Amino acid sequence: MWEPDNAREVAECLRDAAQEHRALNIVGAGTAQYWGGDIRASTTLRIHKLDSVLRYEPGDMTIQVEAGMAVADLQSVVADHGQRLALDAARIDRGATVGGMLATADQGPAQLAFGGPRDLVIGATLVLSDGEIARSGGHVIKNVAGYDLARLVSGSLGTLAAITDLTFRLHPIPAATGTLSIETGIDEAVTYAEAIAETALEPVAAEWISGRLLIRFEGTRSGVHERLDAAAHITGVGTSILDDDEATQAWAQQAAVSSRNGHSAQDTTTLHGLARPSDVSSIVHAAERSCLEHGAVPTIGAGLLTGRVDLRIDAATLSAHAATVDQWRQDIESHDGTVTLRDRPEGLTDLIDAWGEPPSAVAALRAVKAAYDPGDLLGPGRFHPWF
Amino acid sequence: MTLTETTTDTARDDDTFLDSLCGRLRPGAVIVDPTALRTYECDGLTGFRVTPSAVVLADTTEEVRQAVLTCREFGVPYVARGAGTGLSGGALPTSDGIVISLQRMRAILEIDPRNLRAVVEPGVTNIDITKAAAPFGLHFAPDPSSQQVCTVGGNVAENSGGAHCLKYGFTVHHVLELEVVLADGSVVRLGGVNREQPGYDLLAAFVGSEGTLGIVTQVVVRLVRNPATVHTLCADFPSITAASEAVTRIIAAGIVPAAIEMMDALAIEASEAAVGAGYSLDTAAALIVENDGPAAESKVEFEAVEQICRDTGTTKIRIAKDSAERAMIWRGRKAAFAAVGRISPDYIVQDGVVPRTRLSEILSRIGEKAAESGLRVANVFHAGDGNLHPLVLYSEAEGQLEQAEELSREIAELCVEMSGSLSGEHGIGTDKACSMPRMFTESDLAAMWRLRRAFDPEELCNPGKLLPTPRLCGEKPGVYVPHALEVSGDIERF
Ligand SMILES: Cc1cc2nc3c(=O)[nH]c(=O)nc-3n(C[C@H](O)[C@H](O)[C@H](O)COP(=O)(O)OP(=O)(O)OC[C@H]3O[C@@H](n4cnc5c(N)ncnc54)[C@H](O)[C@@H]3O)c2cc1C
Ligand SMILES: Cc1cc2nc3c(=O)[nH]c(=O)nc-3n(C[C@H](O)[C@H](O)[C@H](O)COP(=O)(O)OP(=O)(O)OC[C@H]3O[C@@H](n4cnc5c(N)ncnc54)[C@H](O)[C@@H]3O)c2cc1C
Repeated sequence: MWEPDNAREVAECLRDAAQEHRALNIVGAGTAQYWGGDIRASTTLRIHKLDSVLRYEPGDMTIQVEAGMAVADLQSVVADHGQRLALDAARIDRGATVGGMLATADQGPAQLAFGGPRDLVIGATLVLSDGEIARSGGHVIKNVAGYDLARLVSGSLGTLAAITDLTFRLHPIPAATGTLSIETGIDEAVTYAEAIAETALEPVAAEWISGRLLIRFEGTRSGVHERLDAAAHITGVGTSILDDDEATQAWAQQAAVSSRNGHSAQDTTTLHGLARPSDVSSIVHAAERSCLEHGAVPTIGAGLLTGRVDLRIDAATLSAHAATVDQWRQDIESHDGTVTLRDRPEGLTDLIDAWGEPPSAVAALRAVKAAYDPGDLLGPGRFHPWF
Repeated sequence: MTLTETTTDTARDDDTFLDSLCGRLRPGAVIVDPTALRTYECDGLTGFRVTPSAVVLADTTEEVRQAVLTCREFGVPYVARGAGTGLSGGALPTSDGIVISLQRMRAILEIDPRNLRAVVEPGVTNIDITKAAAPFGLHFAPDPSSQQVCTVGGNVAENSGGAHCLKYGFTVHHVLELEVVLADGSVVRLGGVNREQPGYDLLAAFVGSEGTLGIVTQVVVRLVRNPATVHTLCADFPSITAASEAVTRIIAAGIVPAAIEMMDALAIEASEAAVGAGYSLDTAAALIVENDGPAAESKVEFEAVEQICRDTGTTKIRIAKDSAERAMIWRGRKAAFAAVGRISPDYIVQDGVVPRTRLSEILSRIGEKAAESGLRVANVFHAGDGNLHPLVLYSEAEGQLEQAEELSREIAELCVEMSGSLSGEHGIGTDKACSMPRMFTESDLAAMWRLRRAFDPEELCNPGKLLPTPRLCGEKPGVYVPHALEVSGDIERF
């Protein structure tokens, strides 16, 4: 295991690896190590010691931090100034790093209002596979000078370059946050969420978690109250407005769907489905059907207005996992969507591919990979069978 | 500077190339008439002019593909063109190359209010998307001042912004999927039905690539719900410093207005002469601030903004009573650019960015530089983003062009020195390619070249834009100026 202290050492590691033709697995905090295909790499390059704030300008609401910094640590630094990085992916509580966040393009419920990590990144430093250092973007929130390489490494899962620092745009912490909850099936949940969005109430999150709809608002204290009431009027009988503790608990339950608890849940697979918002309910039904058919137990979390469906399946046998994944994937693909395999029991990828139908631009993906990592030394196997 | 290229190779394969091109496209799709070609010799940056050897007026993706394939076969460079309003010479042709115009592909194929998206052809104007979405209470958020004419294909290529991008983000935040003809003639889709897609985010990397990675033939854009309420004010300030201070305090107070725009006295003078929107002629600067959103929130924020303006010494606040007055205020702002033509025979639009806390510093430095050079500079810009648009006024007839270009370039490079950027929304294009080494090192630029060559190994797709080349800039195109943090030893470059 290599554990460089700074970007210069990361560059040395990559240069050495290139010379020795040594394949590397880049790791931040390791909360998403199994996403995608299995890596064939003997050496782990841990970025976690690169964990300092390089530059924080509260007045500009921008911060530059090293890539190994935990998102949670970043949040506590900026919270002192009433600011936040508007990201709430499930893995943050477990120490996920800012570099890992961008490399996985992982996002939580607030994606509805703020987008994903790539929408908040305004600058990046990358170390390429031959040890060359490259910066793109900068420190200002608006910038179109040059190609935006930070967006290119979004979703790259450690296969394109090592990210050594990132600069983010921050947002103010709202004066108040409020959550509405109602026990309901997916079909009604979709109807409610759409009706609430249509009345310009501007929810920042609308999630359905195995039988329960959660809608989150942010703003001023009185404004959030007004909108919670207006939304509750739409959802009707059975709606409750959660107090702070209840809300924290409810959102933790939401996070648990896409994030397995601990490393050793050998009978758990987590899947990440993406589709049009209008297809969410049929995709949720498809997930339930696949699990039922193959004797797997589903836990489902759906971003109703964003079109994200996370499925956690618990099943006894590996073949039941594989059959469920396969069937659900076919279903989502028939709706032009995609499914990514995240955490899974060992051996699952012997039975099914980590990735489904390649996108039409797969040749461009391969060309980009070849341009930045011609020796295929960074995370080889991660995107198998696409490349 | 007027850039006139001489054709290097003479007529050589031209005839076979043009014959082949015409043979593959519908009759009338290819323009070769020299007078007609002149329309395409420049974009909004009129100082650079090159007449292309032909123009293809594409009607379909297949025609774009055939044109690209023919170019590839003959090694002929090509450049995509929308409305030609670009301000960085992005759509400037080469004399041995062709222009592929997307302006005839202007169908709105689908409005999907349930999924908040629209499928459009690349030649659709920015405003037409919003018009088509309006019956559903939706709009397309990026709103460049040129929105009446510029195309969505151009917006994608430039990652265009607009007054309301402070809150709503830029074009990259509002595109879900693109159909693109790549340099090898393949037609691919980048992005997908969801904002998030597995794999490298090629869609987001493509947006803002200035037509150098491929030609967009279809765009799926996000539509945004119209806000429940909108409040707009225009506040006069006795100095640019006071107005800048108000901007800094609004941001620091944790308020995210939909827009914060600033105009100085010269910009106001020009705008008033053109549209008479009712701005004060006796003020040093005016801020236009708009808050939108749910009723309670936008009212509280708007009142806070008003208070900050008073605390920072505003001399007059005009609050839009209704949508007509609001539209009037915006008309004055959006017309200001072009209106500068009324107070100066010629002008150059600059587009640098600085951190928002350094607005008053950069504006006074610009003032000093202007005084030194004896030229006037008008300022009308996106203050909330720190995105400046200094308009350098000059008279070509009086031989001031070179001086004006020098001043304009110095301003952009000053922005970079202040931890900012060479461009916030107009792009690098031809105009600033040679300044790129001021902002990026050789290895940064080499990393960008890798992306470009991955998409277009033969460099036929809009060559000579965005990245500096020896042919364009000389062997040693400029010197990288280290970042302040590098100088102080806080960070290293190696
Ligand atoms: C403090 C701590 C110590 C741990 N120690 C160990 C240990 O010693 N051994 C062990 O096996 N497990 C260890 N674990 C558990 C293990 O870390 C996790 O399973 C895993 O490290 C998750 O990190 P992440 O969430 O930051 O993203 P990761 O899971 O690290 O990364 C997700 C994806 O992003 C890529 N990526 C991450 N960072 C970058 C970057 N900077 N540049 C480019 N690509 C990147 C990765 O290649 C991967 O594809 C530890 C966990 C913690 C919290
Ligand atoms: C008065 C005025 C005000 C302006 N205000 C703003 C503003 O507020 N904000 C802002 O961001 N910009 C502004 N601009 C700049 C300009 O309008 C934008 O850059 C706009 O997006 C360009 O669109 P276009 O259709 O005119 O593109 P063009 O000028 O035709 O082309 C611009 C670039 O895009 C490429 N391109 C065009 N179409 C395609 C396609 N289909 N596929 C691939 N590449 C393509 C071209 O090759 C070129 O590199 C302004 C310009 C003017 C004249």
